[in-house]
Amino acid sequence: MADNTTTEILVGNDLLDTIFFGEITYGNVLAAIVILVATYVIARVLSVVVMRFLAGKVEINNSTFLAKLVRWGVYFVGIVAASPFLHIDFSGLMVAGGIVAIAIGFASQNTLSNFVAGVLLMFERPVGVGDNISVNGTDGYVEDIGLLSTTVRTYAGIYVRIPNASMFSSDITNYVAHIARRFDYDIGIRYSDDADKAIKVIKDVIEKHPYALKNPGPSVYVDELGNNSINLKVRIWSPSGFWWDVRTDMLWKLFQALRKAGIDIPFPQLTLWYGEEAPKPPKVTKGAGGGFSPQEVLGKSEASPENALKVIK
Amino acid sequence: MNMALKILHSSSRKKGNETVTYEHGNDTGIVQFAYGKYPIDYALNFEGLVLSMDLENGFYHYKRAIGDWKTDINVSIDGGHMLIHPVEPLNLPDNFTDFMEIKFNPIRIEPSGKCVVFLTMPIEIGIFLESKKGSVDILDIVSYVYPKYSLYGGSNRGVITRFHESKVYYYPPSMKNFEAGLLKLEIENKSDEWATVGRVVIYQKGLYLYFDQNFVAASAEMTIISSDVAVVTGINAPVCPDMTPSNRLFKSRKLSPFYNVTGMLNDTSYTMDMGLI
Repeated sequence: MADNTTTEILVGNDLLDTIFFGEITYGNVLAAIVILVATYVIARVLSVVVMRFLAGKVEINNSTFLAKLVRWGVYFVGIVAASPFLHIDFSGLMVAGGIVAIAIGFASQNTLSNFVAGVLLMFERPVGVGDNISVNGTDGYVEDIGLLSTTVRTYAGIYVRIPNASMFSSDITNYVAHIARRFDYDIGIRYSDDADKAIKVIKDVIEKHPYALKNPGPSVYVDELGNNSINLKVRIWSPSGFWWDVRTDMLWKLFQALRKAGIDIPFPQLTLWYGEEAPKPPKVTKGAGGGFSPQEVLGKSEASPENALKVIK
Repeated sequence: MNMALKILHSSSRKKGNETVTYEHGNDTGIVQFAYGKYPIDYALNFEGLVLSMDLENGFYHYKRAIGDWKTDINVSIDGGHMLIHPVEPLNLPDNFTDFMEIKFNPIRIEPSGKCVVFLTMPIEIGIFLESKKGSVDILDIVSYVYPKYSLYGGSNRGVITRFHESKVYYYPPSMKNFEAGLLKLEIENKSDEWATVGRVVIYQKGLYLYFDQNFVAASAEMTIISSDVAVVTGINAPVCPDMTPSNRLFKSRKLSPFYNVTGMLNDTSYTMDMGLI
């Protein structure tokens, strides 16, 4: 098609019809040059467009590689388009190339699938360099996202290379994909302690921490009346990049603040009953209802097993 | 009541440390911090903040303490100046956000209505070094204010903000210029419905701080587009005449080039599209 059009354009021009070399005329050479120059310009423009399109979406090395791939692809198309004018027949080469390509394709099936997965990962971007992720049982930081594989540095500093095909088909947990995340504490206090006071103490400590976010606000509440303690649930939101620091920093501060306020964390305890010895009837108190007084049941009993035994007896 | 602020100031290295007492104050009697440009070997003792720059063995040694929080930095500089300016409160303990959020008592604004309110905002104090050739870089940042961060919007598409709560003032309140600044906020409701505004989120580039001997101030305008969307734009103009512009930190900070790609650096506005209260 291009050959016929060019021939029509060049008809009637003696210079262009003049033989340059073999069967190649000056017109053919000119047409080939025009096509190659146009190819060069289009390739450059397209590579810039690709770079701009991918900027911020993929790593700079990968976007450069893809831009080069596009550029060389356009060069290839341009050379093939210009070849008829220079009477170069690529058909035999194309057949051979096709066969070779099929052979290479079969041989490098995994590599190609990794490459395609890599390109898809770049566009989908479930993870980014530096993200804190878990994939296929590997937890760590993303070091690099290549076209064939993704490199992860585990928390122990171990280098792990994950093929992109595996990465693409796996469940990925990205701990820092969202800008903030929540973490929880379960804190048990004694039954003798004032839960409202404990909640206030905990909230005060949270309020003073800069990275315990004001909004969404922390949530502190009595979650469970456990066997040995009143269990408080503490839920704190923090910037994703700092949540672990906040979590490790604040737990000890909470403990210190609670202890300073006279609120302690009880030990697990077990009350033993001996079959031969019948339990004594409960001591009647002055208040209505009888039974144990709150001080007896809830007072110091959970702090020491001896006291608990005394109360029961 | 005018209280004296004592500043240790050595104007010449050869003379040794010379103590000069400056008087600072305003009509409210609040002792104010003296922002400005000082000799390189400046020393300061103010409200618990102690800093000095001493020449030792050909090197300057910068020491700063505020409570238990201390910093020692060796500096190689051939003369120059120390600039102490208020800076945007987005740097402590770490610089990881470019947004400041101020929450205030909600204001109900009629359709096409306008109002001007004054809010307080936290302040951080930047210590800059200026070389003889005029090159300026940040050396240290301190603050008297305890920082607190928050999330504006959801965790999936919101932004982390430096959080501050303020009363709404219709006249500029008096305040300590080392703890708080003044934000003049012009609110315009361009929508056809009543709107309620209870918070403002300002992008770092829109924070143009100015200072004088009495207070630190910035201006912004908030254009309400609908009942839960508003555009907040920083105004590069002093609240009062003769105020000095503060050194801006975003010039010194090396931001990602992608900020330019997304156009964020070219815009002093932030669109609050995740609620106004």
